[in-house]
Amino acid sequence: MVEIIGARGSAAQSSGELRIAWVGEPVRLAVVGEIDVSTHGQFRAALHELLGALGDVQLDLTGVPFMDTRSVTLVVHTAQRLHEEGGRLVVHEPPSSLVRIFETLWGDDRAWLYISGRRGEP
Amino acid sequence: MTTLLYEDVGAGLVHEALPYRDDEEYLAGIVPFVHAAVAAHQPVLVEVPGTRGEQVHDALGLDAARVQFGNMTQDGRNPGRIIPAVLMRFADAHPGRRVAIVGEPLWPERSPHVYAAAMQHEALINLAFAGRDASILCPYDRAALPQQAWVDAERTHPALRVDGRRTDSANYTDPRAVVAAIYDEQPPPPADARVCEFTVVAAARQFAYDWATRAGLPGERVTDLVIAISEIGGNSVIHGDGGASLLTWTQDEWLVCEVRDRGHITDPLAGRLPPPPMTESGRGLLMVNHLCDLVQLKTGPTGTAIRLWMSLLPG
Repeated sequence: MVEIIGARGSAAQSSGELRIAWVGEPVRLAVVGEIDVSTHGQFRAALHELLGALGDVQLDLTGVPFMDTRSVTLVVHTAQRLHEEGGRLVVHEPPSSLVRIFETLWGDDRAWLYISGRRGEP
Repeated sequence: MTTLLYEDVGAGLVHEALPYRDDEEYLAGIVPFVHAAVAAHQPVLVEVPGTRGEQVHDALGLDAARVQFGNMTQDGRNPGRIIPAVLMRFADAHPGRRVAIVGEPLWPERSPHVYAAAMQHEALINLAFAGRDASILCPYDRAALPQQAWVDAERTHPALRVDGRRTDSANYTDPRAVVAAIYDEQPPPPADARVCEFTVVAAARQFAYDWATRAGLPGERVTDLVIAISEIGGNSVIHGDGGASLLTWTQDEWLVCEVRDRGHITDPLAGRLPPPPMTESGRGLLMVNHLCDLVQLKTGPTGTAIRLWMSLLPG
């Protein structure tokens, strides 16, 4: 069982395998665990909480060793929504799988997702 | 002297096979096709293997500047990638306009393992571009390719362009029947393949990672393979009645693996067309086609097997 510290301090429990932590302002979401078919729901819900935030939103993926295509799609869609609202999604230390998937499927139009720090191969 | 009548192209898809035996016939087939498309203000893509693009470029004169060139040897390494990453990408970049494409997916130096996938690709063009305004001309080297290649070209192209004239292909076959025959001909995995049964996709990823790393696949290609296994294994866990198996083996200079489950993929274009932009799912098999050197999908009511090939050769 893992603990999620919910948005703006409210706590929640999850049966998934991700550990998700929020830090107040500026909004920062840190995720620990592999994001795949077993954890999409939890990740989607956490990203949903980011919508409506003002300014830069930080998504810290330092603790994520792997992400699949659907989870990267969720990040891209979140970045697009934030961009439309005048904000910006900054992804920290994503796994090599995110970079590979993002560059392959969205490489032509990446202006609204910002990646800071890249890791080597797993 | 024959006259090329490209002005009779109406709406919809015109998918033609062009046989050639030497450089002269090659250019005599392609160059008038491109000139006519340029004259009609159609966007043109020439996607051919190796140095063929330079040959066509030099033969086109001033029109070459109005043509986009691509190298099929690289872009079409996995034939399953050609429709989404080359043909449809080009067509989608020119919405509302008829496009003209020269696409040559087979060449003599190609590994014979890729042959069936190249023909499957040709058959699926007819489904992927059904109702779209596109002229797709596919040259076939009749002097150097095996005899069977032209037989299959006649089965996968509704029209043939022979000696400058377009005719209907009498042997054109329903693309779904072509694909079904390719499924039937796929050889089974070798008896000594290693097997990993899995119910959580992380287990398949770890197995693939360890195997490919030990076999000497470079790190970034291991990442590609692990992503691909995860996409397929994830589908297996959702749609495949829970359990699935991953088989691994080596064949010539290839690492080969296969994910088997009890699901059935009913859309023959799965993994070949991008979903609408804001759709959350539907990009997994597309990604697999992008990442792997060859993808062979076999599916039916009793189950699905998706075989992935990664070359151990550099480049």
